[in-house]
Amino acid sequence: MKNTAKKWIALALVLVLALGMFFIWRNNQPAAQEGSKEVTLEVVDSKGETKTYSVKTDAEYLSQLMDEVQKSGDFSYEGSVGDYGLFIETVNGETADYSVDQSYWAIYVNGDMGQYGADTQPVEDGGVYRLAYEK
Amino acid sequence: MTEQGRVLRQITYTAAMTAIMEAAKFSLNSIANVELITLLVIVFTRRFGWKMTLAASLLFAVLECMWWGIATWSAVYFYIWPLLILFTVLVPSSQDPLVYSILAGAFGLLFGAFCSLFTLVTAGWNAAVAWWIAGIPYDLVHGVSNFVICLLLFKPLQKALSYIHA
Repeated sequence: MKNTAKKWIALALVLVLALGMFFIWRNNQPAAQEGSKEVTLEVVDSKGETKTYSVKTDAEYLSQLMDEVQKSGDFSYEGSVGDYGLFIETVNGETADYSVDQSYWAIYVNGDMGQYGADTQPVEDGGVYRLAYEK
Repeated sequence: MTEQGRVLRQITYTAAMTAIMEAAKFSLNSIANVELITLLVIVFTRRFGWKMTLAASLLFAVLECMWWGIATWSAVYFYIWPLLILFTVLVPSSQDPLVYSILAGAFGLLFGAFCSLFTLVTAGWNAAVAWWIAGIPYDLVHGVSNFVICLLLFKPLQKALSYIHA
């Protein structure tokens, strides 16, 4: 087989791989629940103190919920968008910096470590979403 | 050239390659999933061979750990660039940038899958698959950006390096 043909076949395979990955991702998207939901947002700071926010929301994703609660004035957060989505850096004025002391803000969903970033974590009715300062 | 001179030159080149990789990493840090390291590793492997590039990639990983701290991705950096060096060696040598753009694109697409191998070891199959799937949009951006960057910069970079005696 000529080298030119091999190159185009390889390119076609890479495109098929990209399309396949896209469909795998799309078919595995957790369905976000729309409509009015009652959820709990918890913040556990570095001292282990917990602040709880009970919210009625239409937010589809955790970052939207956090934006809504932030507007209420008693909660604040800052973050940056990195390679794997929204990375939470500061919550209620407390900054976690992994490069300084290996601290970070972890996301827990109903008590379990979250599998998604804040901007891809769906919000479900009755869900408890915890932002915990961890080292 | 004496053996001592040859070794000295290799050490110098390895240090320069590491510095270039580190500078390239910093220069594009603000743009998520767009990086020059893949291109550099491919071009360095072709020009200087796998041994010197492997040494440079490991030094680069050490520097990244020193700068950003030890995290889960640290272990990944120690095997993912050597993996790319291996793929580059296995690809039949060519002057056509398209060949290496395909390699760079495929590597970008599979970057998350390779990274999830570490998750597979530390947290099991389910966590690794969930982690990989959640990162697929970023892998797609990574694959496309790698392909375009390599297509545009492979030839100029290779020409610049051709002036250096390997």
